Amino acid sequence: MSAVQRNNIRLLGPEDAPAIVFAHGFGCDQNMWRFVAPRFADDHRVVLFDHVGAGNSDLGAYDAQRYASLGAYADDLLEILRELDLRGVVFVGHSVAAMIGLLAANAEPDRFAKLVLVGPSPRYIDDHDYYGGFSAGEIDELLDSLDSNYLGWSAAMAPVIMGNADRPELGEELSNSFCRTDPAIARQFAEVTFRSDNRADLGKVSVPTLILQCSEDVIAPREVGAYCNANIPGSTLIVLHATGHCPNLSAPDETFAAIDGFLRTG
Amino acid sequence: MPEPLPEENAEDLYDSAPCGYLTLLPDGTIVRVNRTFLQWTGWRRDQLAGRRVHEFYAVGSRIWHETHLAPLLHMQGEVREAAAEFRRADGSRLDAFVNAVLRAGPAGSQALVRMTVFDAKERRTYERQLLEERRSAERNATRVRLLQEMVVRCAAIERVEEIVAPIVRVGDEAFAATATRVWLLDPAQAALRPLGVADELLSLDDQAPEARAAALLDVVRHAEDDGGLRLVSPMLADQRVLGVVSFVFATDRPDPSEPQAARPRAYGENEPGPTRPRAYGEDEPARPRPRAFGEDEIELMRTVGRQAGQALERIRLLEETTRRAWQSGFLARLSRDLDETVGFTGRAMRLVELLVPDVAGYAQIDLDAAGDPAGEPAWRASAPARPGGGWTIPNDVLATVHAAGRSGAAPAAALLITIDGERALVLPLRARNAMLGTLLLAGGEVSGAGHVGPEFLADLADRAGLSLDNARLAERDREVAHTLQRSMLSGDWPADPRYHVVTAYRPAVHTLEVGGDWYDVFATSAESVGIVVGDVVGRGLHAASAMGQLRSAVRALATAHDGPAEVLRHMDDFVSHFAAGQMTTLAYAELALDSGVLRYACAGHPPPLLVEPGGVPSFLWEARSGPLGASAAGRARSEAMLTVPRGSRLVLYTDGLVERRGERFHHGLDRLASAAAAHWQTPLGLLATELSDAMLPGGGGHDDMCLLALDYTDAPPFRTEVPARMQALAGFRAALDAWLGEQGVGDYDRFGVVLATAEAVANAIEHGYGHDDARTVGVLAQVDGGAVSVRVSDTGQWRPPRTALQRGRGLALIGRLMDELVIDRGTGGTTVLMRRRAAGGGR
Repeated sequence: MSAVQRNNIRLLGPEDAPAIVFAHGFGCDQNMWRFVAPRFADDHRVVLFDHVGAGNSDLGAYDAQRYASLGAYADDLLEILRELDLRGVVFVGHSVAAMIGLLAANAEPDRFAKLVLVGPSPRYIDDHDYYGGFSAGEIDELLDSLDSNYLGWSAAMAPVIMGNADRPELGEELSNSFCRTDPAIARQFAEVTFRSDNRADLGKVSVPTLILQCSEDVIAPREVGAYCNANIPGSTLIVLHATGHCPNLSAPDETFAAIDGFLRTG
Repeated sequence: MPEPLPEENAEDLYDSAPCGYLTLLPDGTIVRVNRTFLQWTGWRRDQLAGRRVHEFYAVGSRIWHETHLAPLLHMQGEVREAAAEFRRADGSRLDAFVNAVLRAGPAGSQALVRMTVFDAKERRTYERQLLEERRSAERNATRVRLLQEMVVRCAAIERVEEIVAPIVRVGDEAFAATATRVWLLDPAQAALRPLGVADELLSLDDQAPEARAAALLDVVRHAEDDGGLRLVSPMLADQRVLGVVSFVFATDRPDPSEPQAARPRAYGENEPGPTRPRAYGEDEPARPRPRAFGEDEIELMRTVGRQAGQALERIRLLEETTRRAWQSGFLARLSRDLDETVGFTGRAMRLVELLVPDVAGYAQIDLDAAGDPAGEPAWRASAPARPGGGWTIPNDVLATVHAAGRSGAAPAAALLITIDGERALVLPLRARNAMLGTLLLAGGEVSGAGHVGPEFLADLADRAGLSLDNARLAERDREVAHTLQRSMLSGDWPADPRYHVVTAYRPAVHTLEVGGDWYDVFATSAESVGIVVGDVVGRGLHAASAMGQLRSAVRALATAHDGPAEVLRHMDDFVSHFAAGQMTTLAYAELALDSGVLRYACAGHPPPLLVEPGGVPSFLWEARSGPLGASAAGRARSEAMLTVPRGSRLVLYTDGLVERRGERFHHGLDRLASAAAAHWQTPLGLLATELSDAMLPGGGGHDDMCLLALDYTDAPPFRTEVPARMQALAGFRAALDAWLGEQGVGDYDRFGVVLATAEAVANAIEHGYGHDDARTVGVLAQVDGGAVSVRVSDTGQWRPPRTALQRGRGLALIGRLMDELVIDRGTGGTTVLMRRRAAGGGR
């Protein structure tokens, strides 16, 4: 099976335009980029995909052994780029996908022109002087709650499509689902995500990097953004006015503007 | 009339709604909250207002809000029936379901999130139960699969040690144990021993959970002081405990920063290495949860114990079967090899060789001198060579072993001794209630369990003792039998120039035991000689002693009775009176030396062979009857008579001479006749050897053989009585010289024989009779087969020579002149037998 099918790839924009790849984080799928990605389609080849196990990806391709670390997701990303024969890519990754893209860029820097890391965190658990925002116990509790919410989350994630006055254009398109997630896969993805430690990988980045940091983010606090900025050589940090962990949804304009601005520099 | 409905206002509807009500800004800031929520959570309104709702979530819900609820609200405007967990003011948790809807505010104002909160305590409890059951079922399904894999793997193993890996795997994967240890019961020590750990021993009386589980025959759960847990399941087979499996659950995972190598690992502890591929940086290892064990898990541990027990039992049975097969095979081989080894010392040396290395690294046999335990060993066999000459067994040990050996306790206990740090077992070697010595075993399997057990060693020592004793007795018998046989078969024949006898005896090859063949020659009267060849059934001491009795009996009967038939009849009586000698065969013949009349009889024996002058062979087939003691034969003993010409040769023999495997008996006789004819010219002195060689190429047959050949001298002998005075010597010399000339004896030989004979006669006159001329000296001379034999006999008393020199010169002279010289000084006189091979004369 090709990566294109496996990862439910969607392509927007002119074929020969510079590529920009959007990757979603833990908890949802490529719909996370629905208010941002299309805006680049005029002058970019926009690539959207679901991680294996999320959205409309091929769940049969999920192998708990293989996807036991973020490296597997980075490998998938590189496979997609190879399959689409993309080089000089701008990679935009949200949340844990920021680290996935960073790992891929470190593995094959030639394919990447720029990295945009939205709400990145190299490590969620505090470690001595490092502040990650969570104690080890809190992450255990999170994983426990994922377990206990096993049924609840399934119900919660069941699509409940309502006519939305604000965005009526979404209705039909979303008739399938948002953030459709297999609970068992979500459980492991959470574990892989929240127990990862990629601090050592930050220093290996060799492509221009933009860090988008929300002003109030319980998942990736500002200290973490600053840590990334300090440890990724030549990186730029922009603190958004947006609060929460998903500026791509809560503040699409600001997010677009910040990315667009970064693309126009250098 | 219906009662009026109470007034309701919106404020009360909001505050007192049967659900919590929160109004949030899109970033989660709490704008408004109703009283129900405050009552449920215990928070005051002022504690909530203006704060973000995240602060009042449990951490899981906080992340879930950010990663799921907020994005969904943004995308689809509403979220329903999502689980959420709030923190109450008192620190407890409120399990809830929330519905949330995003309401865009009027232009210029903020959007708001309205969230209703329902208490879902019971439903969540139910869900947790469902979840726990499902996960438990999944876990148990996995465990059952692992258990089945363990059973399959256990069924394939052949050594006890191999059981560790499958059990550890179950401990690792089914129970996530920090370490899994397998302990085996050592029944002899009433203790448990960890498999694969050499020197650890845990008494069954110990309070350790392993010992308690072995005693209780059930799973024991033990809380460690440090908060860890140990669950011990007994390995059972038919309610017998064979050991235990100990699952250890540490209180905490090891610090990952600590190098793995620095942490000591017990045998069987689970491999700590990563079970998943890790790349791009290390993931944080999972922190352990406090372990709680359900009855289903305990039952699984029980099953692990039972399955392991059954596997162990099967292996034990297999090992026991293999061990017993090896033991009986080894003992059978040992007995056979020892039986094939002849001689006491040979057997002892073979024994120590056979014991190394299968039974011990070193084996030593010390044989007692005379049952004296404190004395130096009389003889020692050991293998392999050991510097310093072997172990010296302390006297107190020897005394103990001897006491045990003599007490007849069966099986004899082995004594373990340690000398210079080396351990050895000392076993008594005994047989027929007597101590022979000790067997010492060291090294190799002796000190370990292996296939060498105490019963086996006792059996081994008893067999070895018996085999050695048998060899000793057989050796003694053989010695006696040989002595007996040698004495019987010595060629001390009556000297008479009228005939000559040669004999040969050849034992069977491949045996050291003597047979019962014999021959004998004796005078039955002054004018006749009796010859006999017989064959006693059997071998060894019994046959030899029977042969001795029969030989004496034949001699006695032959001189007392008239003729071979009579002799055989009396021999029948003899063997019927004495148990020995039944079924003996013999050929007996009497030759009248002057007339040449031969009387003979055969009792179940091959026929005598007569070779007449010129080499014409014929078997004497008459006068045949059955072996001695054979019932019907006794009444029909007969004899035959014929006259044989001078110069004839008579050959008596036993069947060993003519029998060959796979050859008909008559062919053997034909071969003998041909060989005898062919060797007609062979001088009698060489005949026995040459005929035997011709008949038994290679030196011997499968049976003993004896052969007796008698030549009936072809010419009358020279016989005279010389008066005992020196003056008579000259005439005597002339007469003897003339007679020798007639017989064709050459000048040189004649001169020698005459000189020697005259010297002997002179000695008799001088020393035998002291010149008493009333007495005579008898001279008998015979020429036969190329030799001249002379007998000179007197009946006087021996007088010492006047001077030794003179006497010595006379005998020395005779010795130089004659090839053989025998002087027999008896009370009745002195007989001098001389013989000289001579050219000319004879055949």
